[in-house]
Amino acid sequence: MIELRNLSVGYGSRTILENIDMEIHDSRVLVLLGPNGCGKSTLLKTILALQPKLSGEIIVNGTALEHLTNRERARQMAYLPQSRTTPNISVRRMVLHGRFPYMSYPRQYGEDDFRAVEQAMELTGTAEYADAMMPQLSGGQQQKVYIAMALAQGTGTILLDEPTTFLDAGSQLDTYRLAKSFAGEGKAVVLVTHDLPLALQYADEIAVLAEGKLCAFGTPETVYGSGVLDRVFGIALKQTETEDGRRYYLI
Amino acid sequence: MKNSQTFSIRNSKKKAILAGLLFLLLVLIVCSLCSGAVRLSPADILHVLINPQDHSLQGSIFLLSRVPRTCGSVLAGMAFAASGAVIQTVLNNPLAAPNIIGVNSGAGLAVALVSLAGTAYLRILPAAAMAGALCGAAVVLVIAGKTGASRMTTILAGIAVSSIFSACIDAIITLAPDTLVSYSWFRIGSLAGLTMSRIRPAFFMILPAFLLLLSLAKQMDVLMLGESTAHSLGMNVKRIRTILLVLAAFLTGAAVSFAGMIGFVGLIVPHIIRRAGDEDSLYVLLSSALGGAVLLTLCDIAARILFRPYEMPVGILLSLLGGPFFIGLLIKQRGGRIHD
Repeated sequence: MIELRNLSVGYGSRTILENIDMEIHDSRVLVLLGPNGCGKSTLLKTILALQPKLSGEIIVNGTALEHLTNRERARQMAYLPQSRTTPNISVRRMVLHGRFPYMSYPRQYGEDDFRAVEQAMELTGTAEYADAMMPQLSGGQQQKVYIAMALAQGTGTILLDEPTTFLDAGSQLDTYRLAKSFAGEGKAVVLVTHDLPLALQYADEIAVLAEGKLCAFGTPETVYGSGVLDRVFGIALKQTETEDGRRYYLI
Repeated sequence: MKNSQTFSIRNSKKKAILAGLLFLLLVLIVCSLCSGAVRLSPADILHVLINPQDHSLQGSIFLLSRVPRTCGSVLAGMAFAASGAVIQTVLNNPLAAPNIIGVNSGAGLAVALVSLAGTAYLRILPAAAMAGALCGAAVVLVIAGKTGASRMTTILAGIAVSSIFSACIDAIITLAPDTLVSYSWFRIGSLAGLTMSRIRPAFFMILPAFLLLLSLAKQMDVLMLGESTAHSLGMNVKRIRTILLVLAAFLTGAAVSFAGMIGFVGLIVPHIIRRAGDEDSLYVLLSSALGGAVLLTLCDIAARILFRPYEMPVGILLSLLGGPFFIGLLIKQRGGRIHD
């Protein structure tokens, strides 16, 4: 579990989000929603110590973030950044990089690492092209490999920054289903997205960030019911009951 | 099962490339020992090796000229290309070469200053070049560190420092034109007249730096994924980036000290190796080192025999032959890469 206490994030003298109090729970998919530039990615980067916080506290499984070493942090939180490079290496090698936090210089990867890699590839459905080279894969397949790498990291928390951007509809759904399955295995999953209907459908909890603060936090039903999404995004969001459960759509 | 078969095929392809390069290098080493103004046959070489006390003309040429020269071309080729491979990976820039971190201009300025001091000091030229190269890199890395040690600030600091050093070199040459003689040898780069005593100190810098780099191949792999991903995997990105660049500076600085600025090897060899296949850092480092040694030895042989009994500095020939080859490769493989 990650606790954010009175957290303010931003760049230098520019505050982007202020006084955020929030808990990121295990076994749940938390979706961060908010308009462009509201600070969703900045919040993720601050939680990962990729950039310094302005004030407040970040507690990762009971320990303050600043007391964790790089490696300890990497064993607790995995991250899929928004922009990624695609090196010309095989899928298996790529996923193996997820084991880096467990490798101390100059040790080589061992049996445990290879086992974790095979398992991550099985779970994400990437095992079938394990020996293909990364640039040969489609965007959706590459995305799954990146997610497999984060999974191989064996962390309790996975932070995904806009994992569905540039993906076709099928690959987007695959990504949400994977996120859901990770939560089913006890992981805390944080996902940043702009796709409101899918977010509401798959999230266990929603945090709405806008106007420099946390505007709403709760289950999809309560957040939808509060009308905060309509107000923040200037849209009309509706829900309907289907055979497969509740679905949301924009009009 | 199918997967593991493909995996072993790819691994064996890499092994085959490495073995091929090694074989080519061994052949070129023999050719290099034989070629020059005076031709030596493999039998002559064998005779000298069996009878090292034999003070024949062939023996002297072999031991005092061919051996140092061949060792020099192999060592410098390896060092320049491996250094280029590291710098291109660390800065994630296919245009990056050892000159980008101030190594060449630093060495150049040191050489110009020593030349200015007078011919009496020419003996310390290699040591000065090495020191200058390392100082140049240190200045660039310190400035880059102060500005965040990002890829972009490193490149920009390198360009700024290089241009300041180049201006100083130009000023020295303009004010004291006599310095141009020894400086131009250095700038063009040549392996003529090498002695083992000039190569030895460089060897003892290149070998440990290269071995350390091989041991950091996994760190290079992870760095290739981008700063955010590397950080989230627990890497201290700034520290690793600086260590890798310092090692690259040692490689180039050591090679520059006895071979001059033969910079083109460091740009094209790692580029060709990456285009030919995998970007696995251990493989890229090893194959770049072998490829660099092959290319420089080949060009040095050509430099000796094309205009026999005269010689062309290998730096000129390398750019004249390597340049068109590289352009041809770029045209042939256009669009073949994803993240260029």
